[in-house]
Amino acid sequence: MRMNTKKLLLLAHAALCVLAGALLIAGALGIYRDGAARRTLDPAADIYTAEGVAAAAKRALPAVVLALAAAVACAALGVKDENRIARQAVDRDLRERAGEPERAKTLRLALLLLALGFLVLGVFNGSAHDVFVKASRICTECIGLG
Amino acid sequence: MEQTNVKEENWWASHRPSRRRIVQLYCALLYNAHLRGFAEGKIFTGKAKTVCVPGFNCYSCPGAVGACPLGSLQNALGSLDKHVGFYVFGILLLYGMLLGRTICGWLCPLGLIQELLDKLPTPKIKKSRFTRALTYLKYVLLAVFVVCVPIYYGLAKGVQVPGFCKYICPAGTLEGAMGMLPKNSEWLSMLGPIFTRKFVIMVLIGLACIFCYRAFCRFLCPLGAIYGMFNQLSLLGVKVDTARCNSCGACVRGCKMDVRHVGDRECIHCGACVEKCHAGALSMQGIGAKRAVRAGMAAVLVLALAWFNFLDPSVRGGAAAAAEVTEQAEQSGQQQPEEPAESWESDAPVGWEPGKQLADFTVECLDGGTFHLADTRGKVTVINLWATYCGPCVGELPHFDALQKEHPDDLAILAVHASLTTEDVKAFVDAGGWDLLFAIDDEQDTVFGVVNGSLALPQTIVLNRKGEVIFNRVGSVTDELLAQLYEQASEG
Repeated sequence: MRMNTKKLLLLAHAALCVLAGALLIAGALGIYRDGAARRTLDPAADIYTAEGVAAAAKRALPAVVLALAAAVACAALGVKDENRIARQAVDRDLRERAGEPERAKTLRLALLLLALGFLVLGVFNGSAHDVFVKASRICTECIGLG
Repeated sequence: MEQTNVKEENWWASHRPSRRRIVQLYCALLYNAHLRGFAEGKIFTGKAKTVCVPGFNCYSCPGAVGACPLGSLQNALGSLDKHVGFYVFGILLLYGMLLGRTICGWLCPLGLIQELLDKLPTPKIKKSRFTRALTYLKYVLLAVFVVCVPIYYGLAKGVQVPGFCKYICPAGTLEGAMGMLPKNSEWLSMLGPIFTRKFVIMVLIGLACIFCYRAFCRFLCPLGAIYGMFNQLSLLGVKVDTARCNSCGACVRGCKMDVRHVGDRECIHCGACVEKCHAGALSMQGIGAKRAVRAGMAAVLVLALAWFNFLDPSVRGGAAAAAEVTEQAEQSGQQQPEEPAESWESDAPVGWEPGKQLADFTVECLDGGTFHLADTRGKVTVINLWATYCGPCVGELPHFDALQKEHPDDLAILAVHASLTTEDVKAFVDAGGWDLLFAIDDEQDTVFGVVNGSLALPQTIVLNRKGEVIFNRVGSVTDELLAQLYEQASEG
């Protein structure tokens, strides 16, 4: 395949990806804008509604499908950006890195022992239980729900 | 015919998944082995969640069977006033010393997603001095959102705010929020500015990963920043035989990460450089693929899938407990007509949805008294499900307190703490000074069962004077909404 055609395909796919992303973002922002306006009139009104989400998804879906189709087409034609690795010089002589010094081994052992000590302490001071409790409940705000 | 076979073999040779890809997929499945969670829209609550998995995997993902190390670290830092989170520090130190950023390259589901996005054929942003400079951003995020924000809110305000989870984490949005929403469509009502912001961030990070290899991992991931600090000391990973190395630089030039030398803080030990080294100076230490190891890994996965989906007590007990609570509620509901005062009698069926009346229940309060739901007929009743370790829950308690003070005789508010506690709840509420009735749900989660309380907190239920539900929603509530709900309930 000619170089220009290849480049064109890559650029077209890139544009579709950006378009799909932009439509998804615009959809979310649009839902929020409309919902926030509703909520100023009625504090109990939902910002996100099933209808709003469906409408936004409908707008973004063609771009997402096209982007995926373009990705499949590019893969089938073997089109990819091959010149992606920069010619970056090595900024230090690897041979200068001498073999692992004895003190590194000692430090590693000490830190491993410290880690095990912390784990035992953690089991007894309740911090292990804290991890379990937090992990088995959903903090809605923490995962971005609200 | 022969030519076709050769062609097929070549195609397979160039497309077959690498050993690293198989390990990444394996880990993603193992960390999320609770597959029934996706079908039921519920998270796993077994004891395995005490263990942090090494990679980035949200513990609110319906499939997650372990805890997220970064979420746990933020929670540990947010509760320093209570005790030091030795367990989380120990587990991070252990993973760091054993594996370093080998975790990023081999064991991280988010790393896998980023690499799959990078497979999309688009022009790619090459690594440069600029991208190298951007790698320091993750240390800023680590310092600000993972360390400072939780410590500040924990010590100064007594509220747990996991800054990175709340404001940035794309894994929480993708795995937690997007994973739970399809099966919990009623949660749509709590989505607002936080979700919008995090959704936009998630899409932007996804786009960045399409155009730039592992953009999140290289520039934003605080967990990678932590593991990177141990990279030079970790036991496993790519090791350099300095006697053989001729400093040709092929390893660094061929690497897609912003490394300056093999094994530095940016190296994820993916092993791509091992093949590129013509001098044979590089080797992957500690990662082999013997047949026995492969068989062992497969057996572990099968056992994990069986255990976390069918055998774990939390999975087996969950359905039975739910049935028991429903049965109790129904029995309680049948006795209902005797309880309410005549003037406030309701014909509504028993249930937790708006328009139905809640089944009666009695619960011991922290002040030594008893709360009997039937006794609140004639008053507006608010039931709030909360926990001391839930930042938004604690944040909204003052709203309930203000409402109670505004309507002392006409309003009954009961704040029910989840059955799992991490501290002395009575001491916590005494310190808060809120003028509310507090209770802790029993081990059978009776109150949670009656009001259809989920594993998501907070949740607020408002009943009118007849005891009929007019509002039952997961998520935070505002002053304005509470005032409006009170008006609405007092009219009913």
